[in-house]
Amino acid sequence: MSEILKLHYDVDGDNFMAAGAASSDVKRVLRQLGIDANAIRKAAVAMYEGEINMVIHAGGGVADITVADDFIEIVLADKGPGIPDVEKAMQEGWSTAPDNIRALGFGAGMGLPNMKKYSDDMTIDTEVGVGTTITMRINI
Amino acid sequence: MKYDKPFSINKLISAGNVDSVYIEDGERLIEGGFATDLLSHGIGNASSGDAWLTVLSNPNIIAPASIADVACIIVCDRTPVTDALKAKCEAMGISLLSTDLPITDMSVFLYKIQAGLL
Repeated sequence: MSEILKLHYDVDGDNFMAAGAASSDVKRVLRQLGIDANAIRKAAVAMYEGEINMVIHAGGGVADITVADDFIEIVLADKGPGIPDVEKAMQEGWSTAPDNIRALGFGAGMGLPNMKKYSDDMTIDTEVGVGTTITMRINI
Repeated sequence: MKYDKPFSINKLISAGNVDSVYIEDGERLIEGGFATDLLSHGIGNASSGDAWLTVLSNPNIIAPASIADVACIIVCDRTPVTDALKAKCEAMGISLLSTDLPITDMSVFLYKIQAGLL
């Protein structure tokens, strides 16, 4: 289980035009490493949703990715408002995104469900008023 | 849906009804179609090789389209294509077309091409 690579990204919370850039770069790097295509898609989708959530809800944050022989781990940490009701937030269709964000195609209420669907393991550590850290693991 | 007989972006262009905004690879095969204006719906469900049909015309669609590895985006229903969207397609290597047809009509048009009816 040797570690191949670590990646770090600062996700800008004020720049919607750049939203998704970190996820796209992770996909590019994973392809260069020759990782299995299905694992790349799962990692890129899961990270994209987390990245967008940090932009929309938390004013940005940081993303740390570890690539090992048999897994990809994605840790997304922010100092946003936290998630008051995780169970409700996990329901498909539930969203607290404002209308101006929905008009851009975001806020479908599918972000967290997609993150769970596309990762093999996901944990959410959140505290209202403190922030949220989400850890996802994708098996290779 | 996945098409029985995938066809190239160039074939779609020659069949008409679409305008080429930016073509990264005209020989890339369109293997299916997926229609949505919700980015999470698209990234979570569109398949590699699909044509993504939408009325969205903001550059935020490019990252999920790239991650989903769609063959192209088709902006439907006379939706104006912004310069920002075109520029991001060029930067990310995503083919972009536009059409006056509504999404449902464009879906039927694509189906007819793959079925050899056009």
